[in-house]
Amino acid sequence: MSAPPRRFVGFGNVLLPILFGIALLAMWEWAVRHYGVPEYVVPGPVAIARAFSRDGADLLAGLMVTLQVTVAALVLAAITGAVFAFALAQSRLVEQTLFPYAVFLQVTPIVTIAPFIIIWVSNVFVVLLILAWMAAVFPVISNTLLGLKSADPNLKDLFQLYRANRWQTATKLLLPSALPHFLGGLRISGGLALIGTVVAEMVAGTSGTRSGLASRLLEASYRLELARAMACFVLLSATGLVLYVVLDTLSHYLLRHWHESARPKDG
Amino acid sequence: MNGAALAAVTVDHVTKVFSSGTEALSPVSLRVEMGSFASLVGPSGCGKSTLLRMVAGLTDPTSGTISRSWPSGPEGIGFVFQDPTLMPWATVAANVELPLRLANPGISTAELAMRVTGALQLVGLQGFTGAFPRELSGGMRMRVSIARAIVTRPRILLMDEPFAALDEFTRFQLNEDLLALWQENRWTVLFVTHSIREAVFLSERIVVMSPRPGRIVADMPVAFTVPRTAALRDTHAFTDTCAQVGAAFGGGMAVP
Ligand SMILES: Nc1ncnc2c1ncn2[C@@H]1O[C@H](COP(=O)(O)OP(=O)(O)OP(=O)(O)O)[C@@H](O)[C@H]1O
Ligand SMILES: [Mg+2]
Repeated sequence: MSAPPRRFVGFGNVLLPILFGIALLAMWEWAVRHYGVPEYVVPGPVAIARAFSRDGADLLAGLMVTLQVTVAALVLAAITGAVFAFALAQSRLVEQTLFPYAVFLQVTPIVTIAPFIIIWVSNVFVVLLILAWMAAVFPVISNTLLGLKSADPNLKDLFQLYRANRWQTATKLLLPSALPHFLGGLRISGGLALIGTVVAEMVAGTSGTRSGLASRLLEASYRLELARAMACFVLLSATGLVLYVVLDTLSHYLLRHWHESARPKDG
Repeated sequence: MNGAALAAVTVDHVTKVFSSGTEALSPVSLRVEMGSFASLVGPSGCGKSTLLRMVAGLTDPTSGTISRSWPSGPEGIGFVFQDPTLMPWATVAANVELPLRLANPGISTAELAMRVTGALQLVGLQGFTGAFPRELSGGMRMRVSIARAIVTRPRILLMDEPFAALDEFTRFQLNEDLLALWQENRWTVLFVTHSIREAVFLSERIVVMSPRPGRIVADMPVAFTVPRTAALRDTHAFTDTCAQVGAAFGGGMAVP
């Protein structure tokens, strides 16, 4: 074989799941029609597709709102998480003092904090951002911290021997060592940011043209427009998938030269 | 010139007891002359690495003193670990230039390129500047590690079993290359090894240590003339010297 095998492409990992999915959808449509299930109870794939073509522009507007919050929260989580982990790694004392608060952030169900944030912050976008950020930040913190601590001790000796200052050691040794762990954390955080945004939208109960896809889903379900609700659901799932693929590709790209996780199959 | 008489490093009654209670070294005294090639041999766990790390200043002795005649930092010292210890995320060039960059962040790219090319030429790796460590063989990685250690032209080169993980063929090859480098440049080298043959082939002097807690049980000159070549390994004199060192080694082992 000349070219190295591409990831995500091939009969095994693309075509098979797609064929399976099509078969599943066909069975679903058949069952809905055969048993005469009304659309407000269980819509079939055709009804959902119809909802897409009817409300497409409207749903995409909602998706843009959700996506904006998700991406902003993820970027914020990446930056603050990395900075926080770096601060924790500076000394054992700092870590002992502050890490429990990171854990607190992780174990608290964000739904329970939402009412307070909604009262304290008037801007809805900021409310959603805060809640999604809270959901997403912990994996970045804990993974980056692990990465910062697992730098090769021999390399640390080398840097000490060569009288590297703190800044040099941080930028040339600790950050590169932590990068694969950071990216692993980010991949988890991507999904969590989306979940956080969805939960926040549902709790914050936004409405109108600036409302996100999850609040539109909720609205539609209240009005028993299940086809439209399902269309929202499909879009949200697809968004999660795309987010994962983007982050995975980014990770693979950044580590392609050196990390085991990105080793080409022939190497 | 009486440079040979000057001490590069003087180890005076140095002991090391780790916080775990392990007594790694009982008093060791050692004087390494400027420009000499000395090997440290001894059974596993006798404290060779510990001694080398103390000479480098990576850990402090529990008692005794070490005086060094070189400045601290990359200009003074080159250290080669048992593993290549390269930064996997950096190219060969970036790995080799690390000591220069750390010592002098403002160094010009032209100067960097020149020094790196020079060092890589010395270890026979010119043309690999852009490669990443995982694209190299074990022997090539070790060469990069040596290039990194010599790129600053340090006053003393400390090597901790640098070739232990390599197959015999590669090891002999690198032994010969290292010897040629030393014969040309006359760095001070303190070389730790398990292999008596390697020590005899390379060094002007062999220091034999006892099992833990390490002491020096023999200190013997190796009289072969410079330049040495691979053919030396097949001579009777070579085999005899190996046997002598081996006997000192065994004698050290027998000491309770
Ligand atoms: N950081 C440490 N803490 C506690 N004990 C240590 C430490 N480093 C080394 N030792 C102990 O000190 C002794 C000497 O270790 P050292 O690594 O110097 O041996 P060595 O002669 O280099 O052995 P080898 O030839 O196997 O590399 C060993 O018994 C080891 O267990
Ligand atoms: Mg050792």
